[in-house]
Amino acid sequence: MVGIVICAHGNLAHEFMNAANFITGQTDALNAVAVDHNVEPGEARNLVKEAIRAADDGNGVLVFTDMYGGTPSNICISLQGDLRMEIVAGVNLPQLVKAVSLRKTHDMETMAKKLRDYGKENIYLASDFLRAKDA
Amino acid sequence: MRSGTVPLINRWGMHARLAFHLASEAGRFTCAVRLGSHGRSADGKDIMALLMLEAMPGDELRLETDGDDEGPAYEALTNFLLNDAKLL
Repeated sequence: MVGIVICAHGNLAHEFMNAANFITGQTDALNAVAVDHNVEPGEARNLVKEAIRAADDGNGVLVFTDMYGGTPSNICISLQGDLRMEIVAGVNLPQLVKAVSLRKTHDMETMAKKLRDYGKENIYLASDFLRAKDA
Repeated sequence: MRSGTVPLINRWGMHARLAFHLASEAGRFTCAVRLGSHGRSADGKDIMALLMLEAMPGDELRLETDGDDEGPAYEALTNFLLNDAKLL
């Protein structure tokens, strides 16, 4: 199956993983790696690289980062030539929960495109629903 | 096509864990699965679509299965909603 790694600032990656694990009841699908600005850049890059490598069972790794252009994302992008991976920048919880299901039946490239779109599609302005109910 | 209504008997109504496991159960079958509530209809294999139903405890859910394994799917999902939903 495709490996999944969340890479983000501070504790965010682990908290995303914890929330997704609570919803899915599965604790072996997601992996998290924190990028801490107190850690030297070279060491941070090594930590991220090792986390992605460890998640790869031969089917590649889908990496979710918190924000395109941020340090976690930049580190992952710098590793693209070394590891078999796709990066989806701008992670949200619907994407992660969906990823846990899709990894059983989809390849890495297909998952990346589907989950990029799924994440965008599942951001709502809640007041739109209230207005629709009132209309 | 098989169709009918099933009550949602739990404390929280439709919520993330329930929606995930319901979608996973539906995903075991090849047939199309739709669930309806409050005049809305959702793809039963999609967690976010199920959450958008905003189903509350005690609501009647309309369940439809359509395809080769619609019978086993209908039975399994009815059983899931009646028995497993309250445990999630």
